[in-house]
Amino acid sequence: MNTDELELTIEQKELLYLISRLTDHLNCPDTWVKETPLQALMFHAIRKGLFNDYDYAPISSSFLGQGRKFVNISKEGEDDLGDLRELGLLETIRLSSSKPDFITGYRPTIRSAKQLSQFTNEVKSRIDSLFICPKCNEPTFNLVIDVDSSSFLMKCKSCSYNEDIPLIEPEDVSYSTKAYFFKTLGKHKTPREDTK
Amino acid sequence: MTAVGNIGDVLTEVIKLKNVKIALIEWLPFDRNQLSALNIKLDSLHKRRGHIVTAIKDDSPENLIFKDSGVSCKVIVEDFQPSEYVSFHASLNFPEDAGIIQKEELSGHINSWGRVVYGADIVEVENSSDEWVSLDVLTRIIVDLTMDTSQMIDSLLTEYQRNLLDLVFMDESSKRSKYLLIMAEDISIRPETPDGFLDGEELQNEIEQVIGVLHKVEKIDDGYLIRGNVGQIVISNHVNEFEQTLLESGFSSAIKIFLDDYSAIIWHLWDESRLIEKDIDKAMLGDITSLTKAQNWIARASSDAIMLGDILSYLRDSISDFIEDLTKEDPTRLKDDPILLELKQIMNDSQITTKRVNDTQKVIHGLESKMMALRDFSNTLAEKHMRKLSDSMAQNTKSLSQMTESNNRASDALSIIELILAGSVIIDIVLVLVGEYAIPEWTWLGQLFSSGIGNLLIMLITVTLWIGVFVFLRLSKRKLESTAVKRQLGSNVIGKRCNVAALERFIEGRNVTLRNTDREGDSRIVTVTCEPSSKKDQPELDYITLLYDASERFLIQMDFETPDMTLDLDECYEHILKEMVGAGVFNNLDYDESC
Repeated sequence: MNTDELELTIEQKELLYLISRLTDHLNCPDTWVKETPLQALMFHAIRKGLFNDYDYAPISSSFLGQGRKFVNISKEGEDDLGDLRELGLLETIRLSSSKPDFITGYRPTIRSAKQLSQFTNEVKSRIDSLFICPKCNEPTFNLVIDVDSSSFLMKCKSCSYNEDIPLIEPEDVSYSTKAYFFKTLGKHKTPREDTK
Repeated sequence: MTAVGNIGDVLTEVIKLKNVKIALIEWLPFDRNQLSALNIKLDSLHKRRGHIVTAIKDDSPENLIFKDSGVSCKVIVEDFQPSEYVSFHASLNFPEDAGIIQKEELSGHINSWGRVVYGADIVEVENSSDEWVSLDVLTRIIVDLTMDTSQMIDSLLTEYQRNLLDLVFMDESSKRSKYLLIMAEDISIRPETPDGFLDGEELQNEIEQVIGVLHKVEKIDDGYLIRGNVGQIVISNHVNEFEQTLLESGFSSAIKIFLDDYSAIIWHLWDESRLIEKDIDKAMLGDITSLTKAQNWIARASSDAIMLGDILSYLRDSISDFIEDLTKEDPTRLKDDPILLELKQIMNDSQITTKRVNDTQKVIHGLESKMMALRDFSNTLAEKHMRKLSDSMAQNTKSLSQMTESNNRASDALSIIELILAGSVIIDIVLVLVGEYAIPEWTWLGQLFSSGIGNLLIMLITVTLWIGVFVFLRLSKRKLESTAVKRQLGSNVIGKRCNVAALERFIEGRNVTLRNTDREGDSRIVTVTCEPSSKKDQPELDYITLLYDASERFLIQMDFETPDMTLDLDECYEHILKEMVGAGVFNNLDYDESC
């Protein structure tokens, strides 16, 4: 496939640039970004108004080898990661970890370099703004992971300002339910013959 | 696009469902005895009234009152058979975020082979005035119901069942997933063909965030059956017709979901065993820390393997009972019924699941054998280290014995010096009295010395005094020695959970002479020696030594020493313990501290 002819959506461009920025793939070709921190940054970016077309939802998932958690994952983001792989702009690696978990790593392919060079400054600056400290305006606002407490936060190296990323905290909505009893269980049970 | 609840994003809601009913299905390790115990706990015989249920245990039978954690869940039993099943109505009242109002009422059904089904009919949703609810919002509701039902059922399970679940879900059993069945009367989008839902874009994304990877979409009756790997969505006006089949296939899938987490733990144990082999290699080279680590791991893993085996037994019995229940159906009725195919599929699924259970059991057997070998090996190493330790102790004892002998010789020499010293002292005294040199002969003393009797008398007096002083010195020395060794030492293993803050306050009120902290892994063992309090009614004690694990909040041992040989050590122990109870050392519940 000729990568010159690819028509990427704004979100796909932002995602590819984000991964490229995290891996610094031009200078460090053997660097991969792990899926969970990437999901955390995507979630953080959505909440900051980036990745305009993306939603996220809490999905039960094995998390940092510490059992299941409800992780706020963007299915649209996952879908775009798949699309970028199919377009040959991203590649993945799978490896096991010391915890009962497998890890997926992402990095841009060599073919993506030309695409990345054509991205507008607007796309790049939107993603770059994620890493600028809102307090001291220094570009030293990076993701910090504390595995033991399963916490992700953006922390400024210069002024120590930090923002929590509630990746594993499902958000709530108000609702009410009433009990629904199934006709085929307990005293409500009716024989199968009658259920046609 | 709408902003709902405390969601930090503006949702793009594409698919909506009408009049939604939700079933959450899971498998839990149950048998008839446990179900019977559950019916007793729920007080099922008095089913009309219902009870608030909690997982809190009464650890203080002597107390008049107790406090709950502020979380309540009321369960009213609708129907039960003591050791077969129980169906109940539950009202959940768990704390939610500010501004969020939830009224959660649902049905629960648990049977003796561990089939657990929760049912909820969605009555009202924020920002939705009609009967429609979007999949984006529904996802949040389902996650909330999933976690709240886990919390509710936790308060109904036995400690043993909770331990089994904590093992499989790595202490995160409250976040375990359940198989999801969504039943709705209508759907807002109807593509030209069912495969239209598999667009690889927004329709599929929205569906997949609820029911996982989308397998297939079938046209049924007047709607669709949308199947994912962790749930199904059924769209039909006659959903009741499919209810039994859906619940059966749902339970089969719930077992598979459980088995996936179960298998992950087994492989994790297997992987860890390889790392432990390396620790044993290090131990062979003399690294005792590695040996301790390996032994600790083997002890834990053995216990885990036993519990995993127990879970497997429960699973096998469950599947067997499930199959038996399915085959009870009338085959003639099912011959030309479309449900028959589904049932056959479930039967096949169950058989495949049974095979997976068997395969898993083989892995566990392998793991147990390997751990047995590792344990034997580490025991051999431990014995080797013990032998080294024993040899070292024997050598030390020998040295000590030699030192004692040397000490005895020195003591004998000292006694001889003491004897000579006593003589010198007496001679000096006598010389002071009678004078060392010439005594005038005209004095009576001079005349006495000049006579033979006088000299003899003086000598007798000198020797008598010599002996007297020697005896006095010896008796004084013995008295001092006996005073030094007269001690009563009390050593008591307590082995109780304690409130570390209160214990440290108790210690701070005394003069601390020694504090030693020893960290190993997660534990922090503290040894503190302090003087007793100086109250009048106190027994005469020299010191108290307390040994406790600060991280585990566990008071291990208490030692004390008294010079008073008439004191009853048990009374001393009771006295100190009473002081500690008074200081709140054993009030170890967190909420007591906050109240």
